[in-house]
Amino acid sequence: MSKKNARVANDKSTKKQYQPYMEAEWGFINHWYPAAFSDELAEGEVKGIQIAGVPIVLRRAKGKVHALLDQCLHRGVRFSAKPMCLNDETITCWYHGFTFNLEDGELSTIVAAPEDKLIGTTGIQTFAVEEVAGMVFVFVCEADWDEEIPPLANDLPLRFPENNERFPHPLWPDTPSIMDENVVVLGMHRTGNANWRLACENGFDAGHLLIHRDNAIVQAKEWAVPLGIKPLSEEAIAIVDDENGPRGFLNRYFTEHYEPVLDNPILDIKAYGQNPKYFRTSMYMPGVLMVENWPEEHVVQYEWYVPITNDTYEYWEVLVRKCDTEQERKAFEYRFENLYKPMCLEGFNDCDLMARDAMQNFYADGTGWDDEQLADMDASVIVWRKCASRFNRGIAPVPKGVHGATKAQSQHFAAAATGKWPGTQAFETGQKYDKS
Amino acid sequence: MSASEAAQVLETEAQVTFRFSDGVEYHAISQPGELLLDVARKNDVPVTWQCLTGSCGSCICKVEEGEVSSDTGRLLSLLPSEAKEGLRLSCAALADTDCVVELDYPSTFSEDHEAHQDIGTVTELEWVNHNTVRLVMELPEDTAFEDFEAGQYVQLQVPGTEEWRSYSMSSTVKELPEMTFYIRVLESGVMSDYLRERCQVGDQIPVDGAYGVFYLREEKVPQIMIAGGTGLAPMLSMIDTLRQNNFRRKPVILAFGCSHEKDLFAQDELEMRSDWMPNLDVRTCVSRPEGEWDGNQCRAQFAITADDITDEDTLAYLCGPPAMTEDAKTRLISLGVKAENIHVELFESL
Repeated sequence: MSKKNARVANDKSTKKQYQPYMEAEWGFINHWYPAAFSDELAEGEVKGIQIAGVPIVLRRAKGKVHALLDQCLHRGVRFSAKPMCLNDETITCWYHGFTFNLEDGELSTIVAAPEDKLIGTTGIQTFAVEEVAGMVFVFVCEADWDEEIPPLANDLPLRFPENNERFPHPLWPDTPSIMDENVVVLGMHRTGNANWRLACENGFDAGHLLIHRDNAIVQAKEWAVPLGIKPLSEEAIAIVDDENGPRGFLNRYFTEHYEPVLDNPILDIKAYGQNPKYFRTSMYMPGVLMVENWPEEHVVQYEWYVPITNDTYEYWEVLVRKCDTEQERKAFEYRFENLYKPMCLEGFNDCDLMARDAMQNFYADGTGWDDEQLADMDASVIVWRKCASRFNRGIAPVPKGVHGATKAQSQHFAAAATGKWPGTQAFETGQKYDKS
Repeated sequence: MSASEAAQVLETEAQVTFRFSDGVEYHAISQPGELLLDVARKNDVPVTWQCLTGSCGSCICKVEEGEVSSDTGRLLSLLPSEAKEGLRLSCAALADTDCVVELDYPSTFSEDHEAHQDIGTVTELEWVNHNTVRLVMELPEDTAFEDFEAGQYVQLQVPGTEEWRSYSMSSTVKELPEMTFYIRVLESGVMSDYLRERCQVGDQIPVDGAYGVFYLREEKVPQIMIAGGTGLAPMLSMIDTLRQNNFRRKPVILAFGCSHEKDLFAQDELEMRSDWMPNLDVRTCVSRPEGEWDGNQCRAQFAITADDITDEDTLAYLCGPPAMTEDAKTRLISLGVKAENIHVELFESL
């Protein structure tokens, strides 16, 4: 077949349908994102992060987590660069002493200028925070957001058993949710060097199982992981568009709508493993993946690909399990430490992390989105792009004056030299710059 | 005032105050018989202008105090209702007495929106209905057009001629160096003949602009757009700009009308935009349907009702044939939209 005549799954008219997604280089805004694990933020601690180009400082005071814009209005430095909190109600800029209320962001005093006329007339943006099952979520919004904040549950995956009828799962028990009672959430997060969209798409892409073929967990458990999974009809992918609930789509794996590809006679390659491994992926705004029945029964894996800049994202992997007794909790923690973390979240998913970074060069300047040649296996990628175009609450503007807004190579090298490469780690709290 | 009275008044100088929307004022002396635009240009008052013939509408201003008459010997694109409201085209207006004229844009607008010249290369030419083409051009990578406002127009030189014609972009600055236009192809006309008979992908077309003060005012208030035919083009640019800037919390209503169903175009584009913007309500109207048509059967302006005016600061944009915009403006005012919040693109059908 000549190259010219090959059918391209994402021709120009298809691309047009997800124009907003292509514009969302820095992510979507006005959504809930994970910001930290609760145990990363002890009482009084301050932590600086960046989400969708918005620098955010977190501080726990009297048990409650506060989130404010991590950029002093005076000279633009990050509070988190050298945390200074002089009481439980405020955060003070370490540079010139501008002091802001944690609750409403108002400039409440200036250390060496308590009579300054600016006091009480200005302030910095604050963000809504929810702490659930050991995770801190922040509603990252535009400065002029004046609407009611949507519930966190609208930016989390579907729940069960309430969706059993709609999305039956005869091959595994009800999937737990981070919002359920008595759940334990265990996980990790780290920075990936790719655009956040490449990470999202890798999460549910039905054709990428090949990269997991040689993974230790797959070999050890002799999972019958197919070479790929092929959508057979439109029904293969269900759109989730609830008026007041999560929005995204669900891959109906292990139903008549998907066909596992078990061998390729041309290459004489076969899927191996005798033990059936049933699972299902679904993806929701603003970029949260759910892998049901994974890595084992009664456990679910959630993943977030939180945009930091347009070329870095924070990769969150958490496992959720209902543990009604202390014994169950201990057993889950033990299995997490000794199996799930080393062999799944690291071993297995390290391959995903590598694949996303490997795509970045091609997509970095934006031309990759035009030049890629998607195929039938990528149906869910196109569905996701269309869903995201429709269901987002706003496209994050290209930021100014923040980390990553201009590509300052020297800063990256400096960060690398201190062993803090890459990403936000270099901006973490508590570094003592005075080495005396 | 009678002509003879006016002639008498014109014997003397007049003091003209130009007041911009940012409150900045310029004062100048108008000599007898001098056109208002010439007064402004001579005194470096930063007003916008382009065609100098009374057709483009770029030099529009509003008389707040005093008497300013229109040059009656010329065919102007000003709507009768606009003239009655005190609007004038300053390239064809004379200060009869001391006066204050208001410009509906800031004093920095001209400086921030200087005209540029570039050569565009045709990359797509698509017939979107029986008499309308979608023309896509690629400008140089380093094009200076990135300061154009959604709703503005450029002039295109018809290849092989010395003729220039004006068209509003339907694309936004974000799509640069690509620029898209929807152009009605008439029975005859230099651009129409070119598009029908000679235009090919790869053709080079000189571009000059951007011009015009019909542009998106991005206030956080409900927006109403009424478009007739290819008057849809600037609305598409404005809708995309609103979406790109996350304008989602106030309603945007687009009433798009054509005479016949076969005259409609860009329906798929509008449908996509409705999917992307939950606050966008597109009302497609056909005034003289033949056969089955289950949409609105009316002219576009009648798709807007009193229920749509939920905010006294509602902004409205009108673009289409003069008879339509005139009628639409009268209707919106009667429904409660403030006259000064209604922006009209004066539409040439050359």
